[in-house]
Amino acid sequence: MNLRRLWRSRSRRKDELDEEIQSHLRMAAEDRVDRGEAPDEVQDAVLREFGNVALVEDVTHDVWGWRWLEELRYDLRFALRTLRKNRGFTAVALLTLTLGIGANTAIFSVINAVLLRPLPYPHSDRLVYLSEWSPEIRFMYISMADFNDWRVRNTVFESVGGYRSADVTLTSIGEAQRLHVRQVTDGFFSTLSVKPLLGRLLTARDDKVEAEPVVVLGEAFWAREFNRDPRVLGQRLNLDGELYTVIGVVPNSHWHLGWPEVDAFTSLGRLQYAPGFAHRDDHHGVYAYARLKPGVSFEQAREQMWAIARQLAQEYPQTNSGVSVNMMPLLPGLVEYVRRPLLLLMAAVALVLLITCVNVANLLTSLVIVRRQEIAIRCALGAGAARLARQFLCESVLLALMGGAAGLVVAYCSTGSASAALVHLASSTVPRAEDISIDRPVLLFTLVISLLAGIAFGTMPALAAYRIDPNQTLMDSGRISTSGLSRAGVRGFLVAAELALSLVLLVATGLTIKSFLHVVQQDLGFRADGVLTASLSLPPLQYRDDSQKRLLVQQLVERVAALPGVKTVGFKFPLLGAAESHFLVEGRPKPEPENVPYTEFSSVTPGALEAMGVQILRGRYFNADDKAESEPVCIIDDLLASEYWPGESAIGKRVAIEAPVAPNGFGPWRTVVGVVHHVQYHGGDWPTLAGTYLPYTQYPSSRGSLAVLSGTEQSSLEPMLRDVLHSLDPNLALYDVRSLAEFMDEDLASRKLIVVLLSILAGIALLLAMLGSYGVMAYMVTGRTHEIGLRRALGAKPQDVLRLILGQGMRLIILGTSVGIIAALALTRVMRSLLFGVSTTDPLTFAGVVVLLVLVALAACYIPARKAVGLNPLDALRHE
Amino acid sequence: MTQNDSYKNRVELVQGTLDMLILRTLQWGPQHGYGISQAIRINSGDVLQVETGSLYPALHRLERQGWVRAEWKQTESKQRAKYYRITALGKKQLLSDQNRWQRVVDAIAAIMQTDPKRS
Repeated sequence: MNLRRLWRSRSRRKDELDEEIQSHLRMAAEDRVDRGEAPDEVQDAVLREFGNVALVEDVTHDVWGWRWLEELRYDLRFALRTLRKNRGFTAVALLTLTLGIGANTAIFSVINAVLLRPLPYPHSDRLVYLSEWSPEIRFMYISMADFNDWRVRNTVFESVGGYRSADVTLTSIGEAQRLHVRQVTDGFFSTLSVKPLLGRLLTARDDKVEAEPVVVLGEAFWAREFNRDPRVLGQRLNLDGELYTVIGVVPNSHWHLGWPEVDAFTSLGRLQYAPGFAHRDDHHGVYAYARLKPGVSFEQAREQMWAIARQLAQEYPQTNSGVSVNMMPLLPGLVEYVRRPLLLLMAAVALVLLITCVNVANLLTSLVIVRRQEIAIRCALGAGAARLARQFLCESVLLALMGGAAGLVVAYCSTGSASAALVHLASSTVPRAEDISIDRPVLLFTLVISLLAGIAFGTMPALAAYRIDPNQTLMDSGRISTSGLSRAGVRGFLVAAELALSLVLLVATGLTIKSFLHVVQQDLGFRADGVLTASLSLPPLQYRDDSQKRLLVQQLVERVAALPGVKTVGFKFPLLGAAESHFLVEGRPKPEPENVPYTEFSSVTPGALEAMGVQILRGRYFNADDKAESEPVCIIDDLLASEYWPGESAIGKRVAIEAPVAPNGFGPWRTVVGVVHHVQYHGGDWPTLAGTYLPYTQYPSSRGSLAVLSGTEQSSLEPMLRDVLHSLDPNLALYDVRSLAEFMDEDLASRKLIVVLLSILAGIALLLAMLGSYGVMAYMVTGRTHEIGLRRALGAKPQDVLRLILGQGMRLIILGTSVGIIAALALTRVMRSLLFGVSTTDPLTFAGVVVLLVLVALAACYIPARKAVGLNPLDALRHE
Repeated sequence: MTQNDSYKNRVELVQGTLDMLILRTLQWGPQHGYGISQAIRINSGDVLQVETGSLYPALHRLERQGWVRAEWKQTESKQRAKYYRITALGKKQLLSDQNRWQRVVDAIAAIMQTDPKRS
């Protein structure tokens, strides 16, 4: 558009200048007539005096700096003509570029939407994320007491809001259902500048301990359960047995914060003195957002928060020594865990683009050689080197822009389905995946990389053209001279570069795949197939006593076990989660507080370990005799057993698990009755922690999950499970009903996504490298046809020729792969945190990739070599 | 022929003085290209003749630099012509050009008047 305006103003100026000079000539003529000269001679005299009108116009016109624009127009027109004339070449180059730029655009659109685009809140750059920090736990939950002190003591935040996910059971409407609730403090909504759709938000008044319980609904839940009826305000909802009054509704548009899953918001402040929150040492699920005051820098704020943490550590050394504050800008905080994988993908597509550029540069260079006649003529006619170079750059940039436009179309078509796939595959792992779109930054990015690519792959042929000797070329007239250009020189270098780049990408992909296989194939220690899980939560108001919990869980497990098709069933808490706890071993000196060992423990009913296929190695599983009042027992895993009792049986030994309410901080000594195989509950790529199991009767929890091993389909088993539960208590909800395998797949989703994408990119790279090597080798062979014929005529055997050609290719391959190996060794180091169980210099991967690449490249060389050998020496000699 | 005689008396314009002469001429009021060339010729007593190939590029350059502004107007003989008018910026430029010119002239004069025998 701007260019057009420029062009139009240029034309206007030209017309005006013309008129200006005409008026000059008229006035000069009039003056002469006035002085008495003959009118018919005046015209000539005036023109003679004026000089060359066209030249004056031209020189004047140049003052405005139009020349470049006009020349650009000629260059573009010429470039278009050239591209049209070499259709085959243009098609191949465009296709390659479309792939390369399209892939880059697609990945960048993901990065743009997920990592770069600001959060949709006013002044979102002033939002920060807060958690506590301890040497062991980087994102430690915030204790309410600390939170309140932060809020009072800081002078850097406009507002601070704490939040905590706390799911409840809703029983007042329809069948009992599980709601995703976020408990928030006053300041949560104002920090994010969220306005209610209806009614009001939670205020400081609602945070008072004695305040009436109120609830703010999420838009989706409001639409689902109340059909967007505004009369919902004032209604009462029974949440976990307590009546909450609905006071407002908040909009849904907060995907990035996980809000669509949030059904309702209740007050967190109201609970601050409740058990589990009141003590400064209670860290229970609370994180916070805060908004910086205008003019306060992030560093100033963090400095002050650290100072406050130091104060608190001095005032409460018992609980707060070593504890600090973890503060991050909100957006980077939200997306931190996907940043590295996404950047890896970006690096991979950037490599693909580089390879694309090298390939097109190769194509263009061969085009230069084909066009050397034309170029020589233009040189001879006086085209300067700079002018020629500009012409070539113009062609390549035009080509790149066309490729960019096509790539944009490809990316546009693919982002729809790609983002859908992303959301489907990894919505839980990639935040804001729903927002992926082609917007202005993406367009700008595509434009910039297209231009850069055009310049990058245009430089090579421009240089090649520069080296053409017009004199010799014109004298050769038509004969392909092998001097300079067709030798290994430029193009050989390009092939080597291409192989090196491909090798880096292939190694990165190989490492990722190997790491993925490692994760997938690792024996996690339990069986996921055929196990259905369903979660259950016992509202604290109805199930105050442990005996109530025991009774319900026992009856539930018994009745589910009696269902048709069910082989084994048990109840376990947490199912796969992390309940980490300190423990002591009897007979060992009590370690220093900071050295007390950790174990991952869960509470299980008889049948749970059996249903999940956790193998017993020694002793026994729990059984009905392990009652609440009988001898405290536990089962440990072989990891713990071999650490403390290597070479002897752990059965009969005793350990104690941390129990905050007990006077010494630990529960009773528990006798080990069984040793089971170690289980990696969080998947293979998590740190390994020894495990302990307690009988549910002796360690009842108000939450947990059924693990049901059966031959029955989920669709028929699920309603039966619900019926059983409701026959015991209609006010309980069964939720998160999923097969165990599904759970595990979710864990793997993001890894799988990266593996798939990287493999696609690596495949493209390999294909391009092969095409590139083939093209160059084929060209070199053609260039040496005459020579080959000569050699054959002089008695060289076919094998000698084959060896000659392959040797030439091999030199390039060795150069390319050696550079590639060095580059890969240097570059894959940044992948370390993304890999599991594979070293970044894994020799097997490197060797495999090198072999693959060498074979592919050799195959690409072999075809033209074969052709050369197959030539009749006489034909070859006649070849020009 | 008188035309030829006057041609002989003409002097090449010193490099870089054309802009100054144009701006100076425009100080008397807006003028078109032809008028400017006539004014310079007449005011120099037919000594200075501006080539159109220099005049028009110079005018357009001055316009581009914002030292003159151009507008289309009617001449006295009811013709459409492009008139140039000096701008405030152009006046400033003229002043500095003039000062520099004066210094150059003084310097050259000083050298030329020095008696070689005395020095």
